[in-house]
Amino acid sequence: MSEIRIVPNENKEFVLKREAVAHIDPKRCVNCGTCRELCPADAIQENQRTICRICPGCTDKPGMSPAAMDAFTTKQSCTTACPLGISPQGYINLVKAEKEKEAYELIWKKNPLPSVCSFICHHPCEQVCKRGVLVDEPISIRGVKRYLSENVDYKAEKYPQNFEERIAIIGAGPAGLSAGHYLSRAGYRVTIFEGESEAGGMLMSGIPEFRLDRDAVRRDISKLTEAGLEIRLNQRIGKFHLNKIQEEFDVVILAAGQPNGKLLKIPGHMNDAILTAMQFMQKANNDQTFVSCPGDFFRIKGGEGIIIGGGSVAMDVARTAVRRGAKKVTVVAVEDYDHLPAHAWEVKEAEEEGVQVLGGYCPTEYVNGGGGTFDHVHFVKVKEMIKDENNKLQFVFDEEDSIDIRGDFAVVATGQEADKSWPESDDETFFYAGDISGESNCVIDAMASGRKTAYKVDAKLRGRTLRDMDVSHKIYAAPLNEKIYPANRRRVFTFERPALKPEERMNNFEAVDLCYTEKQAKQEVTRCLSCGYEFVDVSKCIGCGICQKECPKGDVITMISAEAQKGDII
Amino acid sequence: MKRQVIVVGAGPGGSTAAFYFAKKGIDVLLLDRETWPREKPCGGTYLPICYPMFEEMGVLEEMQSVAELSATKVRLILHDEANGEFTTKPKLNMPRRYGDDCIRRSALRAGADYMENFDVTELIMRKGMVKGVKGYYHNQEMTIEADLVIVADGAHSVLANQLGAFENDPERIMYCFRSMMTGVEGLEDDVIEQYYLPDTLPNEAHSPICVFWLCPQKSSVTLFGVTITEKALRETKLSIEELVEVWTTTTEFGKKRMQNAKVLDDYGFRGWRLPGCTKLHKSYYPGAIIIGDAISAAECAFEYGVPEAMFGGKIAAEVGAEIFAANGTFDEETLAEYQRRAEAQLNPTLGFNAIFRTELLDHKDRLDAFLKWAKKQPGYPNNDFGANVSQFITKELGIPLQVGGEASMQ
Repeated sequence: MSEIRIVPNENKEFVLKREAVAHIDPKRCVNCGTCRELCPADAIQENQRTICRICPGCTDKPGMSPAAMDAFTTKQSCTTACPLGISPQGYINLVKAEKEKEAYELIWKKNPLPSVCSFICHHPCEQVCKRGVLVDEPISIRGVKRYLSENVDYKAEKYPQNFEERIAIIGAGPAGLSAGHYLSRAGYRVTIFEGESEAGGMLMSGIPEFRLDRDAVRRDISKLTEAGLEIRLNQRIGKFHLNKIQEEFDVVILAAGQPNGKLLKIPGHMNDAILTAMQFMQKANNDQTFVSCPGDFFRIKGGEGIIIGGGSVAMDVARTAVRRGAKKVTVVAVEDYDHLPAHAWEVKEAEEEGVQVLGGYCPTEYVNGGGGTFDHVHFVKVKEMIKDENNKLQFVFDEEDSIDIRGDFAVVATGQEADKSWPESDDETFFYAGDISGESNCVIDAMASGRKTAYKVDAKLRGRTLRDMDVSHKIYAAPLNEKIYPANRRRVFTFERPALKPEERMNNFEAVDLCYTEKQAKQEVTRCLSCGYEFVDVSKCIGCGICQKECPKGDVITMISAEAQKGDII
Repeated sequence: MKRQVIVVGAGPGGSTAAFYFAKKGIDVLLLDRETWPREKPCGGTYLPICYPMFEEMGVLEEMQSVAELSATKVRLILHDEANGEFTTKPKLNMPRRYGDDCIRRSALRAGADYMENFDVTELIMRKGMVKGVKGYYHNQEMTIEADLVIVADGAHSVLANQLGAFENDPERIMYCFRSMMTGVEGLEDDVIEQYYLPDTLPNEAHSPICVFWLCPQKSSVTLFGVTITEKALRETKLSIEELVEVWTTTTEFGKKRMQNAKVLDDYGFRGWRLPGCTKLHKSYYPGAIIIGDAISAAECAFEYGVPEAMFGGKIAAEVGAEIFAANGTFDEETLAEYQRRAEAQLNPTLGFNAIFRTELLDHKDRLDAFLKWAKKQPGYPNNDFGANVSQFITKELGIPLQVGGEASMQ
């Protein structure tokens, strides 16, 4: 590594004298972003290669004008799509280079729950994958992550102990664990308080097992505790305890989530056969014999269920009801069928399992409820949805179009609420993170919120600027001689993502998504077009060499003589 | 397993190399990622300079029997007026599906081993030398070692890219598009028309920028094509379909010919990329020779692409056989012989592409003079057009043909 000397020039200003500058080989760089984030001089930027789409007939997608093709270069990339700022191209290509351990580490540094994400992340990275948009199908990034999380025996390094400040986090869900992970990695002493007997929060109680294998959650959490994260279980924190904790700890982060379900206040809602999604899922997840209610107010097995709501939770509830033996399950959403909040693949999988999904109807009454039950639910067609001045949704109904759906039980999955009795965040010693802060409504966003709070806390305690909080980074267009031609990429015989077939999964709680075999994973990673690479701005490089030292691939960065560098060599 | 020679790519270049290696009794393995015979939109013309090679391969008769005999005259049209026509020696015109397959099968008949659906993704490098290839055979990863690798994997060459020999200069890269049309009007049965558009599009470098051409076929179908450099296409800010639209609706000839024309649906509109150069780049690397489009050795507009690839393959096989006979080490020194012989063979045709355009097409009077002069040459009309061009420019105009001279492009 080169020596850095600080020498005064004629004007007595100090300049950094460098003898070498970093050079990144664009062909070898996997664009993991490690060097870019570490560079003390901000000398490294991410370049994205243009994907050639001029010729019609080269792929299944139509040809483009060069201008439209170029505009796409910096429009989107997997590296900027990840809410946690992880570079999928980085770990995909580290797997390709047979560096699975480094690939896992790249994820683990920013994501304390890689296995969990490999099951339930809604993979915004795959939605912007340029191979998917411009060539054929996106890389199955989540599938490769699943392969990594199940096949890499990663031993996490112990967290450092840099600072004396003690931080308490209330809630060991995704947001709390993520905040704890980031603060621990920075060197704070973190303690997480969890009310239940097992850490994980919604991951353990809210999400059904066929979507998220509980062993995956336990595997991730055990890695965190091995690294030195202290999680105190069965510690339900009330308002009184909060004061005690605030005395004991320097900073308290509240990541208690939104555990309370909402019931729709329409005629007939005071009814024992209507549950919130939370009540239903907690029962279904914890009680393997949950097929009916003890007072026989409703029965699931052999019964007919109505699920109100059109999001991911509604689909989860419906599919759980199918597995608990419901004869007929209907999901009814106020949103149009084509614009359901749930992801398209969730709707597809639910329908494959026999769930009927109806869009565009709003419930107005639970009818004929005798003895704590109802007979059917009355739905009216929604013509229009308008947001009023308080940002509340108002519906315009088409009264002539209405349906009655018979049911033995109903589950309301129209969102959850936080416990409103907690004190407000003061952003000094008491912070919010995750769902309770209103910043997130899915696991990966909750983790991103946890990370943001961790940065806020670090900034407050250490007096740092909040520059690091901005996890987004700008991407630049690479010169045209780096252009990618889809025609010269390997053609891969596509295979379906491994998953259980509907008939194999409908009567059990086995995880639906299956893990790639080594062969499949290795094949999938070869499809990556490697759109991005890191680029050193020679005028800014101070020659410290940290990029070379920390590069997980190892053969990418060389330090070359600063004198030989005339700017146009790279 | 170890072979003496691996040829990557079973197109005309690769197959010719495999044919000549096999003929000399060398153990050669030919690899291709496609299932043959394969369709290819570009080219489709096999020039007379290849006929001696076709005869050696024993495929000339077969190719002549499947060829569609087409136009023998080429009419050049600049500035929307006909500038004259010249006659060419009859060429073999046929879909690449048939022509390339004839060449490939000749290599197999000569004894070359052959594997298709073998997608070569990487060269195996050890101590700065190519030692073999790595790839996927029916999706199974496979490595094969060899003393010499002939890289002939075409215009999007993965392997040339790995060796740092991949050309990507927007001024030299040309995009070609083609479709089959019905209802083209006013075209004579034996005349290919080429429309040059130097004025309608910005053209600072006076380099080959945009050619539309129409080529009549046996039936009532007409081949329609466009060739344009990437730089020029960028300046137009259009996609290629839009560019065709502009030509057919705004230029006099475009309107005249194409007002009732329709694209044949099952053929559609296809494009491809042609790397061009005016001088052979360094085409060897210890343990490997790069031939054809992979090293951009393709004259883009006068149909010399296939012959140049075939000559590259033939010379590679000759030099390779000599080295096997001598000491069998394929290093910088021994392979430099390939570069010498290939340059002597290929640089004239690579060079006249640029000079024809800069010295003839951009000067209306010279072009007229050339067409008159060409008619008086002995052997007309069967002369080699390229040879005529270079002779006219060097001898009659006194402009030195800078073989491979980059200056001729400026």
